[in-house]
Formats: sequence, C-alpha cells, structure tokens
Amino acid sequence: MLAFRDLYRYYSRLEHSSPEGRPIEIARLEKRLVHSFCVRGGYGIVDDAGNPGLLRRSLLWCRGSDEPSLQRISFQLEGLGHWAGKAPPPPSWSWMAYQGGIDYLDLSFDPIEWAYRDIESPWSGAAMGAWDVIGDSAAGRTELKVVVRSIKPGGWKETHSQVIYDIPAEARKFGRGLKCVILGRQRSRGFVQTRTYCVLLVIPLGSHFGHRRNGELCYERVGAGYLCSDLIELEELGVLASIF
Amino acid sequence: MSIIRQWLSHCDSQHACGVSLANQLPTRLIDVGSGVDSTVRLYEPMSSDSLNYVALSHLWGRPPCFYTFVDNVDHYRSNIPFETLPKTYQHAIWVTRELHIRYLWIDSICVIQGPQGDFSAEKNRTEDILSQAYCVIAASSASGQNDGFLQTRQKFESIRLKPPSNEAVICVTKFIDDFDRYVLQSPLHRNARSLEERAFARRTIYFTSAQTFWECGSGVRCETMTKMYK
Repeated sequence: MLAFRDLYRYYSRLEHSSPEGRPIEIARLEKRLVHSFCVRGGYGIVDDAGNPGLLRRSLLWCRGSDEPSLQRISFQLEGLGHWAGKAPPPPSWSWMAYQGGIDYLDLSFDPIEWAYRDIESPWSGAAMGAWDVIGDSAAGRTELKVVVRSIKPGGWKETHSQVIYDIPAEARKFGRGLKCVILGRQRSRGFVQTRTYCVLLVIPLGSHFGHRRNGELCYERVGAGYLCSDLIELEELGVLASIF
Repeated sequence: MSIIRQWLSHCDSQHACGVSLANQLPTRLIDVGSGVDSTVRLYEPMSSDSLNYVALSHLWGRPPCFYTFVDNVDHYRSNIPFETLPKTYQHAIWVTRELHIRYLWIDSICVIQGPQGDFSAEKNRTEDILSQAYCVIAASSASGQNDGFLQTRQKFESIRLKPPSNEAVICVTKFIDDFDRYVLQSPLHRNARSLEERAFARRTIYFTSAQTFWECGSGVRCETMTKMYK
C-alpha cells in the first residue's frame, strides 16, 4: 500500500495537458503495478481479496493538506479522441475524478478493525490482476456497494470540523442528506466509552433525497475522515446503497 | 559525454539493467547515421533485425511541432533534413551518435500523427518501446521541442583548492546533486505523461539545467561523481 500511496500522492500533484488526462496518463503504469503485485484495482484504488485493509486504506484518500479545494473534472469523452471508449468516467470515490493533490488519512494510530460488511469491493469475484480504467470498454462496474449510516441529529457541526471535504465550499449545502460509510474503527482492548471510526462522507446523487437508479439508492462521495462513535447512528442497521 | 559512456559501460557490465538486443522493435525508428553529416531518415525495422535504439522523453511544448504525417512519411523515409528539426531533436540525435547508437525513437516522428496515422495502434506499444530501449534520454530542462537541452548550464560559484603536493585540484561548489530540484521539479517531470516514461525505462540519462544525472536499477549517479541509492 505504501508504494501505491506514495505514487498516487506524487502523481496527483503533476500537471496534465488537459484535466481529462488524469486517469489516462498513469493507466499503463497502474495496470503494470496491479499485475506485478497480484492485486486488483483501477481508478487509483487497489484491492486484495486476502487483505481487506488494502481496499479500505486505498479508499481513504483525502484532499491534500496543501489544497484549499479539489475541483471536479468534467469528462467530455468525445474530446479524448483515441483514448475514448464506452466506459464511464472515474466514479466519485476515485481521486481521478478530481483535479488537485491528494493525501491519505494517517491510520498510524491503534490497530484498525476493518468493516467487512459495510463495503463490497468493485472487483469482488474478479480474477487477480483485474484492472479497470477509463476507455477500457471491458471495465467492470464503477459503483461501490456500501452500507450508508446516518449522522446523529445535533452532530453536524462537530462532523464538519472533523472530516476533510473534497470541495469544502459545497459542505454547507449538505444538511440532513450527509451520511457516512464506515470502513474501519480503532481497535481497543476492553470496554471503551467511544471509539474513532474511519469513514467516507456521502450525499445522495442528484438533487433529490433517496435518488434511485435501477431500484438502488445512489450516493456520491464528498469527503473522508474520522468520526467519533457518538456522532454515528450505530444502533440502526444502516441502508444498502451504491456510491457512483 | 565520456562520463555518460562510462555510466553505460559500467551498467552494461556490472548490473542487470540492460536489455538484450530488442526483438520486438518499434514500427519506425530514426536512423541517425554514423557521422556528424550523415543523412537522418526514418527506418522501418524488419522482423529479422536485432538492434539497439535510444528513446527520447520530452515535452512537445507549444505548436508548431514537428510531426510525421501520412503525406510526409515517404519523404522522411529517404531524408529528414537535419536543419528542419527542432533543437531538442537535433540534440537528441547528437547524443545518440555520441553514444555510438545508430537508432533513435521519438514519438512525434516515429508514430504517424493525424487522423490517418497509426497512433491508435502504436500507443499500446509505448510501454514496451521504452522498456526495451538501450537507454532513455530525458530532455528535462526543455519545455518544448524548440528549447534544446544541451544549452549552457547554470553557473555556480566554486572555490579551487590546490594541495601543496602534486595531487589533483579540489573544487568546492554549491550542492547541485539535488535530484528532486533539478529532475523531478523540471518542466518535463512536472508533467504527468513523463511519469510512465520514467517508470518504464530501464536506464535514463537526465539532461538538466545544472548537470547530467543517470538513473538505473541500482540508483542515481551524478556528473559530480555522487552516487545515490534507492
């Protein structure tokens, strides 16, 4: 993970001839690395069936500390010429959908218990070495199947102060639509009052709450960070959804 | 250039970085000839060919750029007038000749550009083309085809210390072995496309504004004789 993380942090700060080049100009290298390390992946995210932490660490990228805001890239596939394919552009859970430097959450504190049931890899069932990229018409699905959980009423202000939004200026519009997806939590020995959770922040896709596509609830990623267990509705089961 | 030839020679004999003669050659190469005034032309390797070539990593920069198109490829097969080439390409040819290599790969010349070109077919081969090159020349200090990369370097003040005996003079100067500053922060390597070119190359010679760097599997070497290990 360290090799991928350092590579992507470095790459995300390089200049592109056009913003749409971001997922393409590292495509061959990413493919080579995915094969060489016998993992699966794409869109700057890496997965290993035998090591659930790899996918979750990989998804816990965040806006770089040197970036006031990321900018969403508008992919005009026709303009990509030879590189264009029928495949969809990078999903919101990939840093390739944005311009700007990224970092990763510092997960060097107490060992982490990864949430196995709250997220399903886009490559589950795929062979080792499976790799997706924009322009690859054989690319698999780009949605991330997750369990979405609510943030407790009254916990908004504290949530806003603890997480890293990809585009901070949009955060004030989120309101009750803001949800979280748990990727892991701080491991502890014995009973503790509260724990720290590593989460993705998501909002409903489109302008309506509970927007559905093919019967599924659809969300998009808006940030990542740590949330205290006090702020998350952990008593509820959560809702199955997809992040696009 | 003699230092660069020594780096190559040392790497060839001591490291496992070099490639055996490439057996899946690029569709087209530039034949730089063997002398200063040799004709430069496009060469299309035959399946039986087994040869070495150097590849150029560079920024195209702002137009107008030098390209091969469908309507000039025939002409370039017999002659590419040296004086019409942009400075970066002229320097690359000079370096290739100095390395005693006959062939050079430059993407904008060896891949036919334009709607009727073979970019679509060739783009998938770039990884192999770079990794099978004898070495890659990185025009790190150039922002485009017309800049060149063999221009006068930055000047650094130095102090010459002459020992009382007949030992060699020692020069003390500012630290210029900063790979990050002179290579990674250079115009070429701040561009995302160059990352893959650097990753796939087995051996790269970086021509920067301060000095020349060498990189291979065993680490980085500088003209100042510093070695840096990964």
